[in-house]
Amino acid sequence: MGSVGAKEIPELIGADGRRIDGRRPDELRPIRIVAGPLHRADGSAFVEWGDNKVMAAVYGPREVHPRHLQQNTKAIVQCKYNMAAFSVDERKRPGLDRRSQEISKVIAEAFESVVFSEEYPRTSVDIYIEVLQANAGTRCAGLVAASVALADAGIPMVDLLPAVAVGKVAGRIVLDLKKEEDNYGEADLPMALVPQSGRLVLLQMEGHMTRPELGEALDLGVIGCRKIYDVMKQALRDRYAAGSVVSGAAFSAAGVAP
Amino acid sequence: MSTEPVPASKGLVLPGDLLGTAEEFVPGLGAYEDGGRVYAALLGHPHIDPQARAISVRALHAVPRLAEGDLVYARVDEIKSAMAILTIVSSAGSNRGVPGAPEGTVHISKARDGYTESLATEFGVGDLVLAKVLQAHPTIKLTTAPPALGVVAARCQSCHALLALGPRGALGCPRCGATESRKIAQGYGELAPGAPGAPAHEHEPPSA
Repeated sequence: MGSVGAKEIPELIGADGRRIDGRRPDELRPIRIVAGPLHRADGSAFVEWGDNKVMAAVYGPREVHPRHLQQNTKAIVQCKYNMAAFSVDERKRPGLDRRSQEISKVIAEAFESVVFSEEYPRTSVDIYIEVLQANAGTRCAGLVAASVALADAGIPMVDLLPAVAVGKVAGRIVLDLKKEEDNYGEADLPMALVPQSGRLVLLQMEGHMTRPELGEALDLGVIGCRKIYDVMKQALRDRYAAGSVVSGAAFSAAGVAP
Repeated sequence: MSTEPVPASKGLVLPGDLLGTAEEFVPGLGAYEDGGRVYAALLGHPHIDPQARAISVRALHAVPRLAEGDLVYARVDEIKSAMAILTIVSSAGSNRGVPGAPEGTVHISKARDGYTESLATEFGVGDLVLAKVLQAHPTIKLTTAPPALGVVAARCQSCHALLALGPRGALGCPRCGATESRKIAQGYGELAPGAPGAPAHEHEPPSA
């Protein structure tokens, strides 16, 4: 480490091997997931992950807009990832940018490989991810939120999709980067796992790693994903196991809601 | 992925939960087979059909799927000599649309009890109809014959105002005074929750 220009780089890993926020290299930030906080959406989830706060809503399967994207043999998955203007330190210019378009694309493609889209031809499953507060790892937090929201919406899929980023910071492979580690670290490797099969459906990398480091990072990421998977499942159980939720079909045709 | 299969008696399964092996069960609705194992694809309760040796998952918050006997809201698209063609907008029990906005038909013999001379006196294009599904596959056939079923909202053919029910059960236009004839539902003008145009409500009632 050292300083680049005049800007002071924080010490990312201390002498005791602890990270900038006191975590061990293989430790996740605290994560809390609420399934179904939104009532208008067909399915929804809120994820608080370290200093990230992400809301996801799912609609569908419903009519495809724009129409020309419609496919006669299967449903399509459309995703819109958006960061709120107030989600980062300096005001983010609202609207589409290259980064959010890319993230929307990779998230939609990740879900396309787990949703049973052939069951609903000529329709679209629409995922909206709103990042309310960002602190590195928002694409993973968004993916986790969207995945819980899809399950909440009753959309058939292979499995839930836990996701986490692994990175290289001060020469060490660490799990779940926070903002400083992401900004001043050497590499960032977000991934999403299908726990049922062990397949990865999202894998990106920024920065550099050696081949053995990449192997170590992938192993660490899979372990992290499995931990997040447990939190996701618990969030859905908390919402549905209590029997407090009434499925749409339980409303009587006479129009009397129980 | 759980390593232990979930017994069918046990409450809730989530997508990706192991339900059993392919030797034990055929995957039914809401389940799938992968590499000789059967997993859940939906969040819900597992259900075993001993006759078919099939395991399925009954979703707790399912995407609407039409079945015989369901009540649906549908919009009249076209009236032909022997049948009316409608687009199904939602099932009456749910505030979620039926995926794919499927088309259904009401045959002239199923529009009302008794003989019908012409469908033009029973429906108008654009009317919102509450109907029952007589057949869900391969094509959707509907009926509006029972008194509770029929048109629940219609617009005046000349001035497009919403038609109102008059004192003697006739439909009249409050704006231009025209009268029109429809096979109206008992609950004309009242929409159940979840009906298109009905006041929005939450799919989850307050637990209090």
